[in-house]
Amino acid sequence: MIEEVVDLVIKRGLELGASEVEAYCRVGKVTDVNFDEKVRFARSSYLSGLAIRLVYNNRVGFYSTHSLDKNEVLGAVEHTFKIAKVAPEDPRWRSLPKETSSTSVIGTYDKKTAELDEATIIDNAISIIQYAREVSDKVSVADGHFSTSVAEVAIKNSYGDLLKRRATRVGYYVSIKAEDAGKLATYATYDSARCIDRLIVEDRVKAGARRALDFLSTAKVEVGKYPIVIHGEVFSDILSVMFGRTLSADLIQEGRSPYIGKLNSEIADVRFTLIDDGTLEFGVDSKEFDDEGVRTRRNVLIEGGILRTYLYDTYRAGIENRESTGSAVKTALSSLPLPMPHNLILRPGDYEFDELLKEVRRGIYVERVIGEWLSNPISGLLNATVTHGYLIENGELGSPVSGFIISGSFFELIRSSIVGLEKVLHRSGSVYSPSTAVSKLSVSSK
Amino acid sequence: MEDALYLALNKALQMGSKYAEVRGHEGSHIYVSFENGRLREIETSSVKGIGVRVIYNDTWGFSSTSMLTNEFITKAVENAISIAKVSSYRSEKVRLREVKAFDAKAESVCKIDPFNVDLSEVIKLGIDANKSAMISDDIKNTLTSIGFQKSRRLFVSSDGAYVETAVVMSGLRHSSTAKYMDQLEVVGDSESKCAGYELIRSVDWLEFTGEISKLALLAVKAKHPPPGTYPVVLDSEMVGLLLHEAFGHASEADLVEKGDSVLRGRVGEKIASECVTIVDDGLVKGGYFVPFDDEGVRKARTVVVENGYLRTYISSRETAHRLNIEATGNARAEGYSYVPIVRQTNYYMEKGDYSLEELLEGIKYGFYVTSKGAGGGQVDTGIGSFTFRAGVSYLVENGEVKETVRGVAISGLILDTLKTVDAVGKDFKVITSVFGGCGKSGQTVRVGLGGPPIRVREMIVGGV
Repeated sequence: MIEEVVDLVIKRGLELGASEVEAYCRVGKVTDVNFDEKVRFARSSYLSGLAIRLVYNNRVGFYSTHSLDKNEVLGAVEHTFKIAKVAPEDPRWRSLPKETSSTSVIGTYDKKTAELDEATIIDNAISIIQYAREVSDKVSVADGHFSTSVAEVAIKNSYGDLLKRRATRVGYYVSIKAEDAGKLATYATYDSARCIDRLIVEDRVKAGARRALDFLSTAKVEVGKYPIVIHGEVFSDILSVMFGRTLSADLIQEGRSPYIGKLNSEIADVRFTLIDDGTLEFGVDSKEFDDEGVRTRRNVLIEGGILRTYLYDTYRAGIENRESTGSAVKTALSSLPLPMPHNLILRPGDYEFDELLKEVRRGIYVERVIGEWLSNPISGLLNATVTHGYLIENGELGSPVSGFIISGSFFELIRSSIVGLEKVLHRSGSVYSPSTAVSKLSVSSK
Repeated sequence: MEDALYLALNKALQMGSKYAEVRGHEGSHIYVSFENGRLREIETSSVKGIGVRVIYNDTWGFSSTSMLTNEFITKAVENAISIAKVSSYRSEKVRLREVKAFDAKAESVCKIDPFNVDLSEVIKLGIDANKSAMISDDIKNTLTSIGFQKSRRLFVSSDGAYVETAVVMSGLRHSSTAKYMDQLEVVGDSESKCAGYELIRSVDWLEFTGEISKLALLAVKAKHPPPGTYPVVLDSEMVGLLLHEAFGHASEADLVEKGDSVLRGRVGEKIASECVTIVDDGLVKGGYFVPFDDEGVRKARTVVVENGYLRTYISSRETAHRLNIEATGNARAEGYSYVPIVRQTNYYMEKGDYSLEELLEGIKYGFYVTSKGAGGGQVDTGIGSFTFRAGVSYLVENGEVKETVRGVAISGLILDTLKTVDAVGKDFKVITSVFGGCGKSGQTVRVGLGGPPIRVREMIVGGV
C-alpha cells in the first residue's frame, strides 16, 4: 500500500509541473501499556503518515498528513504544490538526492518483536511490577510504561527507485518508589531495544528498586567545586544536548555553532573520540538509509580530540559542493529533514568503574539528573540537577545525595577536565557513552 | 467527522462496552522560519483522526485511526475492545466520577483566519523581522519563526455528551546569537496567543527582534552567577514556569494517587506561604483555550492552593473517583491517537500588591530572574525536586539592579520553595505558545502559565 501512495505522489506532483518530488510514507502499529501496581490502561493503534517535499523552479514546498486515503493524498500533493509556488526561490537549492540507496544493517527489524501479541506485551509489563516487589516489601511501582512498535517506511523521489525499511522497537520506563517510616523515595529506570530478546528488564528493575531504598535517606552536599564521576547514561544525555545539533552543517553554515571554523582543530582531550553510526548493529536509531533516501554510514566526528567532520544532508552538502553524510533525520512526520546524528557513540576508555572512583578519591558520583537538557550547547554551559548521586569518599561510594545543581563549561570539561573513561558503554536513547570522571564541576546547593 | 464518531460509538456499545467515548481531532499547522535574512523553510501539516476509548470488563481499552472508513473505524473499535479484554485480568477496575454530560460548542476568538492570509505577506513580514535583528556584526545568527495552528476537537460519549472545541493560535518567536571574543550566547523570546492573524498585525515585530539582539549583545559579555542559595525575584513568565514545574505536576491527581507525588495526603496542609494562591483555569486571558477537557468535562477554575493551603488536586474522571474529589476537567490528550491523562491547563498564581521596585527592595544580595532566553524546566515529583533554566538575569544588591548575568539554572524542593515566597506582585500576565508545550508520558499539550512577579527567599542558583 505505501508503494502505491509514494508512486501516486510522485506522479501527481510531476503532472502539476513540479521539477522534483519526494514522498516519505510510513505505516505502523504501536501497542503500549500504562501501569502502576496493576495495568491502568492499554492502547493498540495503527498509525500512518505521508510527508511530501515538492520543488517548483527552486521553490520548495512541504506538507504532511496522517491520512493515506487516495483523495486526501492527491489533495496533499496539490497543497504542497501551492506552497511551493508561493515560496521565494532558493538560490542555494541544488536538488533532492539524485542517488538514493540503502546499506545493510543488522538488527533493525525483529519478527518476534513485530508479532508479539497483546497478552505477551501486558505480561511483560506485569513482570516489571513483580521484579520490583521481589526486592523488598517497602518497594512498589509508582508509574510504568511498556511499549512496542513496528513500522514500515517508504521513500521515493522523482530521480530514483523506491526504498523501504522496516523497524521494530520495544521499551519500558518505570518509576519505582520506596516507602519506610513516612519517608518516600523514587528511582526511575528504563531500557529500549530493537528486539524483545535484547531488552534488559529484571536486572535493571531490581537494581532500580535497590536504589530507591538507598535514597530514603540522603546527606547534604556543600557548595563548592568537586571532581565528579558521571554515570554513562547521564553523560549520554549530556552528549546528546551538547553534540546533538552543534556539529550539524545547518548550524555551522548559519553561524550558531561553537564549532564553526574548528575542523581539524583540537577541541577535546586526546581520549575523546565521538562517532555517529547509522549502521550500528541493533543500534536504537540505526537505519538502512536516512530520511531522504541516502545510505547511512559511520561518520567519525571527533577523533582523538580533533574535530574531523560535520554532518550534512543533501541540501547543506550542496551548498559546499560536497556529498551528504547520510544524516538527514526527520524528528517528526511534520518536520523537514535536518542533518543530525543517528547513533552517537563516545569511545570507551580503560577504567573499570571502581577504578574511576579510586582515581577521584573524594568527590561526587552522579547517577540520575533532571534538567540536563536545559544546558546550553551554544554557550557550552552545562547545568543539571542531581536527583540521585553518592559521595565518593576514599575512593568508594559513600552516602546518597540529592537536590543540588552541577554546572560548568562543557568545552573545558571535554578539553582539559577528563580524568578517565570507563571501559564499558552505557546508553540513553540513541547515545552511547562510558561513565566519565571529570576533575571539577561547580556544585550549588542549599 | 461527526458521522465517524457516532459510527465508532455505536459499534463500541453494540460490541458490549459498558462505557465508550470517541474523540475526533482535525487540525492544521503552518510554521515558516527565517534565518540570517532568508526564508529557511515552510512546514505545513494536517492531522485528522479519531480515538476510541472503551470500558469493557471494567477495563480501559484504546485504539485510534486516521482512516475514517467503515472498515478502519470498525477495526479501531475491535482493537480497543480486544486490548481491554486481554488486560482485564491484570487491571484495576475502572470507576469514573459522575459528571454532567454537556452538549456544547466553544471556540476561541479569531478575527482573521491565518490560514486564509496570503503566505507571501507572512514571508515578507518574517524576512523583515529577521533582518531587523541583524543590528551588529557581532550578531552571528538570527532565527525567526512564525507559527499558526488551527484545531477542532469533538467528543461524544455513551453518557450522551457532545462537545466541540475550536482553537486558533498565532505566534512569532525569535532568537539572536551574539559573539564576543570566543564566546557565543543565544537569547530568545516569543509571543503567542489563542488568536488569529490580528495578533501578528498588532505587534511591532521589527522592534521585538531588534530588542532581542540588543539583549544578546549584553548577555554574551555577562558573567555567570556564583553558585549558591539566594533570594530571587522572578518575572511573571518565570513564576509561571516555577509553578508549572515546582508544583503543577505534583498536583496532578494521577501522580498523587499512584504515590509518585510529594503532595500526596497533604490536602488541607499549609504547603506555601499565605500570600500564595494557585489556580488552574482553562479560560484565562493570554492562556491556552480549554473550555472542556478530553473527557467532555467543563474545565472550571480550580483553586489548587488558597492562601498557602493545599485545597485539591487537578484530576480526570477516574483519578477523581480514586481520590474522592471532584473531576476538575484536566484530562487531556495530545491528539486523537493518544489516551487522555491528567494535565495542567493554565497554571498561575493570583496577584498581590507589590510593585516590581518594592519586590526588589527586599533583596540585599540576590537576583532578578527573567524569561528572555529561558529554556523550560523539569521535575521529579517523587523525589520532590525541580529545575528550570532562566533567561537573561540581573544581580540585585540592596534593592538595585546591578550587572547582567547569564546561564542561570534554578533548582529547589517542591515542598520548601513556595513556603519562602514572601511578596507577590500586582502586574499579572499569563502566556502560552504555539511553538511548544508541556511534555508528560510521551505526550505534548499546549499549556499556559504565569502570574505576577514574586520574591522567593531561597532558591538554589546554579553557577560557575
